[in-house]
Amino acid sequence: MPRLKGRRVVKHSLSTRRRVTVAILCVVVIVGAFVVRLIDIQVVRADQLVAASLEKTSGAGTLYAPRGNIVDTNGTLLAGSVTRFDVTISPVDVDDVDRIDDDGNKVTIPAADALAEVAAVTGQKAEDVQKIVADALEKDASANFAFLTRGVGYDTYQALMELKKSGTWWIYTQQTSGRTYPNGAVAGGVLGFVGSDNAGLGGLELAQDSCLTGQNGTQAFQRSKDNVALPGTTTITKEPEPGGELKLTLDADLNWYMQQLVASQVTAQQAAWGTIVVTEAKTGKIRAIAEAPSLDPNDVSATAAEERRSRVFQNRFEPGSVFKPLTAASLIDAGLATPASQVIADYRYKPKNGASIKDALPHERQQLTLAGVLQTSSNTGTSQLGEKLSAEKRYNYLDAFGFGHASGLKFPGEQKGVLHPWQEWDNQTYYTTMFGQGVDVTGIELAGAYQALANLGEKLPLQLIEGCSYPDGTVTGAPEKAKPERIVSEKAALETLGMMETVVTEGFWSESLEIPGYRVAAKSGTGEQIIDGILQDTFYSSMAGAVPADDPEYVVTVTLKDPLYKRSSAAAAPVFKEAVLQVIKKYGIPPSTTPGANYPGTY
Amino acid sequence: MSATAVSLPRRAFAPTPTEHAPRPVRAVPDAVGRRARPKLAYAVVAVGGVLAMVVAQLLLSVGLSHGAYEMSALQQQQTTLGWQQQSVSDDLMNVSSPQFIAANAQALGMVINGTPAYLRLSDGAIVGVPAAATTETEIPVGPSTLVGNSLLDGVPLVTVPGATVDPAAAGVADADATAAPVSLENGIPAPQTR
Repeated sequence: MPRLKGRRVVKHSLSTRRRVTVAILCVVVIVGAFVVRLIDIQVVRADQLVAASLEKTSGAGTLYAPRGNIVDTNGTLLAGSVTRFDVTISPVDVDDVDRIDDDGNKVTIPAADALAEVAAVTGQKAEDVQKIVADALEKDASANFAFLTRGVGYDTYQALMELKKSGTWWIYTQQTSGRTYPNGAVAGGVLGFVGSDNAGLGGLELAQDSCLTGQNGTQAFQRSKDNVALPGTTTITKEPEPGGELKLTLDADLNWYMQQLVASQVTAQQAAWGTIVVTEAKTGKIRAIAEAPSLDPNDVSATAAEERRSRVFQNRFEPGSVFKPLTAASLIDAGLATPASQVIADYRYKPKNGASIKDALPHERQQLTLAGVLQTSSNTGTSQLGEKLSAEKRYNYLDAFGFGHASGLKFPGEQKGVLHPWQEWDNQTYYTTMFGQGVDVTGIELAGAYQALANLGEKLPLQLIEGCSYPDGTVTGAPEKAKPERIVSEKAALETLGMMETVVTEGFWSESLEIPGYRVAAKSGTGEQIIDGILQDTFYSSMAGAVPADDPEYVVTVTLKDPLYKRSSAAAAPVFKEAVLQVIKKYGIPPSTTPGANYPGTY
Repeated sequence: MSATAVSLPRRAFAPTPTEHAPRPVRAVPDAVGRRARPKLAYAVVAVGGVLAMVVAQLLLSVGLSHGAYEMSALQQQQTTLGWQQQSVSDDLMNVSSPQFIAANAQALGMVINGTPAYLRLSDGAIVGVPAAATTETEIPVGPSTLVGNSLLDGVPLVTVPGATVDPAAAGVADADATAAPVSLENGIPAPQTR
């Protein structure tokens, strides 16, 4: 047998070898081709192909991180995030809609009518919707995307889904996030508003944007051809981080009442605007910032652009006589006066430096004490007593009370009062700054100054924000506990508050101001305004004070611009009284058990 | 091949041919045939098993993907219900707003009592000076719509059927109020709801 084999091998060796060679070559070429392809796929284009395959087999979604809520001091929601829907349309697909009606008959709705149906649901005009479609098609004949309307609520979404089910398939919705303010215009100017992208554009929404804004997350999943996630394949690639919850010191209920109150008076007096600020004397926490008119953040477009503001922070005015208690406190603190200091007050006072001071109304010569000067709001009396204190020292007092320094709350667009340095005061200004003319303040600066007076001479930084708390429990943005700054002595503050109490009991507006059983300290102000060099015949009417007068808990400041029927502080006085009454009821302040201050006004 | 295999041993044991003579000879194909039948059964079982597995796999994946669709539908439903819940609780929050409560109270003719007075429980003493609530105050409290809330536009009041919170129909808030003397002292006659 071996022999036989050997013979065959020899016989076929040539063709076999050739065949084997060819076969090996073939194998090498084929394997080589595969290897090349393999390397190409697995190494060279690996990333690209993996990405392409993932794109075909996997989906990604955004996990929306809601913008944080804004709540009041009791946790009442002032601003919250809600799910909204953008409605889009595929203009190129807009066509007649076939529908089965109630009787089972097939009916065809013309495209125009179908669009009108959609418009009725979204609350648009039919022609507007048609215009959107026509415009999109004009731009691009094969346009398959156009926004119909944005940010509609769930009810509209549901109605659209019904329409879609009944054949209007070319409308679509996208989930988005919106902002709601359940209490409307309550503290609206302070809260501010957001834009269509949900980013803060004004007020605290802007100032605290970094607290409120969350970080959207992403999720990935494998999907089937029709975009259904395969079970168990969804993974969160990035956790969404919701925004923080911003807690304010404001009280929504109190704020509402103050707004209703000041709005009522603004309407009744045809005033340009009015504000009330309620501040806790011992902590500096602001409990209410009421403004009328006020922005309703739910409907920003209803308020003109220049009116979308907080007037307490963003308007300056010459306050008038509400400055007198501050001058009086400075004088007492400097040891230059007591509530019994005597002065002879005429209607006019012409000091040696050439200035000319007169009172609001002509009157006979009066023999007043410092308390009487406040009661009758005598400019000439204030000037004569005030000139005992040098301009520099008086400037330092006013500066320390916080005028010209803004509130320190960093409110967006906040104004600073204008208190010119004492070296720049002219002879007239030297006197007028004693009674609140020739100096500009903001409502919040005035509230801050009265906080210092009411806190028995110690000024605290005003506080509007309790803090920004995150779901994991961390709290940021809470103001550091500041050391109170002493402006005037406790004695000076208490005596000044006592004199202001006699303003309520003995002053012009005592009928509008007195609250039986309670000791209230207050001072009126009628600020003149000069526009383009012309003294106006309307005024800033204000009232500032504290309750209870012997140990103040709350500071209330009221300002009305241009009341028409009562042009003086008489417009602000009843507002102040009602505001104080509400504060008393709200915080359960018991009636005073001590007798009121007794500083005679005349001698 | 089998022929060669049978013949070879014969040659090897040639010296004792007598032993072989009575032995019956069997046909080789018989044995081969007997062994082939079980092999077919195995094949059938194997192929059947594979088929069964394929079918089971198919059914399983159909079931699974059906479950996925069901889950997807349920998740969608959950999302929708979540939206619905949110929408309803938003409505609730809107009607909890002070403006809505004020509108309802005003529609009933209620007024705010400005006088603070307390009944001290420990000794039954009255603290403060109580007084009746009246509409005659220096500042007549205007309609609840003075503090705007566009979320309440057209929301029906709960106290007066048919009435809504509507700035245009602000007079509604005054419907049941007693006819207080309208004071012109403040310039314009605003609704005397207080």
